[in-house]
Amino acid sequence: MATTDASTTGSCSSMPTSNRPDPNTSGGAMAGAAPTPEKLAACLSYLRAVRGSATQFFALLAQQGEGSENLMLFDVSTKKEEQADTETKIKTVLDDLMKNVKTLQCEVSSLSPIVGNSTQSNLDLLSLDPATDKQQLHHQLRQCYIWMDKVYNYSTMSHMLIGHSHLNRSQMPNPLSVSKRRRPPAISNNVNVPQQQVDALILSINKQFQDMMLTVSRPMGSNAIVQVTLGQLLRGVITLRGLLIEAVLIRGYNESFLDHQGREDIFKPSQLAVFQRVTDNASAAMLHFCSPYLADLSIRSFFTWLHSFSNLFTEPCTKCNCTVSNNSPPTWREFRTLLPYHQHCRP
Amino acid sequence: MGVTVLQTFPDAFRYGYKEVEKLHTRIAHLGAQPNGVFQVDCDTYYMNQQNSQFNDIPGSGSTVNKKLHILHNTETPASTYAIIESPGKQVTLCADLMFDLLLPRLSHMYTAKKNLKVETKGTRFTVSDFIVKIGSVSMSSGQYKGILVEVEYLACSVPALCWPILREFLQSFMGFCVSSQPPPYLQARFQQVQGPQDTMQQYLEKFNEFRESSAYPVTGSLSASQPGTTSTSTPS
Amino acid sequence: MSINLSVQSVLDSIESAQKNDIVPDQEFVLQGSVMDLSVSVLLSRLRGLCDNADSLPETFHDQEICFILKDFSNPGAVGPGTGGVMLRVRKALDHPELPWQLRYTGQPEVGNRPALLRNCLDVPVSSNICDFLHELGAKVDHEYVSKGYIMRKGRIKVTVFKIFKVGGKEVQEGVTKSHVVELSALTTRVDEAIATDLRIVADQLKPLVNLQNLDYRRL
Repeated sequence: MATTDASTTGSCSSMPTSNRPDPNTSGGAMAGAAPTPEKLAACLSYLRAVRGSATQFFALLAQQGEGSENLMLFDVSTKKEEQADTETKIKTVLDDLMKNVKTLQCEVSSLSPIVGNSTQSNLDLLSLDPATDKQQLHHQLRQCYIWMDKVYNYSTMSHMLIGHSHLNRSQMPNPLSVSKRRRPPAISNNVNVPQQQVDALILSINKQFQDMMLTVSRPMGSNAIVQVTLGQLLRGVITLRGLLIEAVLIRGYNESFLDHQGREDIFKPSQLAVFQRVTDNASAAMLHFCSPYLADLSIRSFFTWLHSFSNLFTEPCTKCNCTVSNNSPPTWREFRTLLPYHQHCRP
Repeated sequence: MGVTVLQTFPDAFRYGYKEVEKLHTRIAHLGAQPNGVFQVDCDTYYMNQQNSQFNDIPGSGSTVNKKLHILHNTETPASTYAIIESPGKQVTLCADLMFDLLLPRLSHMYTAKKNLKVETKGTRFTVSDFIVKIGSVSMSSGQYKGILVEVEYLACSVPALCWPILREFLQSFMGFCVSSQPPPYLQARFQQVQGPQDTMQQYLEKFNEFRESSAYPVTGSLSASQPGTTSTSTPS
Repeated sequence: MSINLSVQSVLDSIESAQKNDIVPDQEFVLQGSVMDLSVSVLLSRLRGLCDNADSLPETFHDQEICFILKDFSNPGAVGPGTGGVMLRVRKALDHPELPWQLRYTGQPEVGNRPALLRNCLDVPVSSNICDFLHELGAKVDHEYVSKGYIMRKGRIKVTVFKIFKVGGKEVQEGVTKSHVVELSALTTRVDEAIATDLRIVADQLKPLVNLQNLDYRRL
């Protein structure tokens, strides 16, 4: 009780000089720690107690000085009594002060096991920006980081799952060749490949299939456009970017593959429902077969798959055993077995 | 231009309109949308015999048995199809509509038989990539003859590549009057790319069948179709 | 029994067109000839006269086969139409993708007109026309290759061409040492105003070539 009183009534001039060491140590410790509010409050109350007892002590000393001057004028005997009395008083106050300091020290040392400014990142600094229009930034950036972390977690998880299932039939002949796939420098080379390499690859695929004709043209610079003619069934336009398939468009054999300027039309979709569906499935196949590490193999697999459409209107669906269902032939081909299925009969 | 199959729908009791209605509802169940009307007509010209009336040359009979069929199809409204039919040979010419104006100039050689004009008209349906035309065949006199169903599959132009899908589609709304073998006309051209002329030749084939079928019950039209009785009325 | 559908028959449209006189089945023609040496002079004059003077005249290279359709089994027959009908089949050798043309030209009409008037019909046809005409009973009368220039002035077609014999040889042999100059205009049955226009153009070419109203029957 006395200590709190003293702290509030204590003189302002004496406080800073006497108390300087205490708040400094405690303040420095608190900045670094991650204390609970209760502990902090306790610390502060102890600090207040120290300051209160210190003030009391100084006040007593000052009182002592004034009193002795007055007493010297009247009585010497009472002076000695008085002196002994004040000495005991000062002693008790001093003891009190020492005790308070000790408890504070003990409390503060337990409060600050972690020291230093190392966790203060740029993000924290951004939060300190006083400009009102910048205050949102901190929050947004934090959300961003959180989502990044989530995406990263999901991708690692999905990578693990996909890596286990052997959907890509040609990429991993056996589990031992996993190390083979890790050829990171190959990625950048697929986009910028010499034209001869693309031509040679398409030529070799062309030789592989008797009834499928591939012609390469480059109407728009270095990237090739491959025109596929599959028997008398369909025509396809495949846009390559280096060795990666970028877009696939399938049209009927009768449909014009040139635009009004006489160039290859790589955008206009087919007018026929069947080939619109085949185009959709071919785009899906393109994504399925895409593997940036083995681009030539992915193109080869894609064309093998596309070649399986040579019996589009004649082969019945594997599941329902009908050719026509929903007024459409089986327009979907299984990626590995190349078996025909209707869009809605897919396994 | 896709592959076209022409199929006669049996109508033994000559219900006519009722049977057509039945086909309409069946095709509607497949999701077909009515999409306008169509008409295919066929005029037939015979080589004149008037000269042999004056001067009967023996042996000239071998060359006179020629028929010139002029067909129009609303699917290709700017074209006239002229099919010349002589024993064992058929030549189909695809010409501009102006060809019709040329015919009166050939009147010294070929004359039209007005009462042999035959036409089919009806509703045109589209369903996915199929075009279905259900027409009722009638003579110029208005005499009802039967039902002709034309199915065209737009996505393919070679019969060999799409006969299974066409057959299944035809059977799905016409039942088992569709044989599992392709019609003889398509069978003869199984690996060839089909064009509009092939459609018209199939129509002519069917029209001839209808005319011949009428020859037995209706004796009057048979005598009119004989080359020799002259009704030299030329269209102008 | 039959369904009552309002189908616009294909045949109806052409019949109504003919009834309303909007089918261009009449042709005014003026013909003349010019020596090979003076063709360049005539061409530069025509370029000045005709439309699109800034561009070079369009060239053409056609083969024409003339068929005669008549009853060959009966040569002694008399009466109208026994002379047969002449049908000309024309194909562009320099543009094989274009349809072939079947052309019927009638006899010149009698009457005193500024230019020769005759009935004519141009029908684009498929390429099996020769086979078709054979089956129809027509026989080849003659055939030739024409090569030259075509220009246009309003509705008038101006052609300057040379006639060659047909042969497998690389160097084609000209029939004569001159070019044919022909002015023609298609018109309908009722519209005859174009004939005077034709005459005016012909008069402007007077010093170079004399274009006449040729009557074939006198030849």
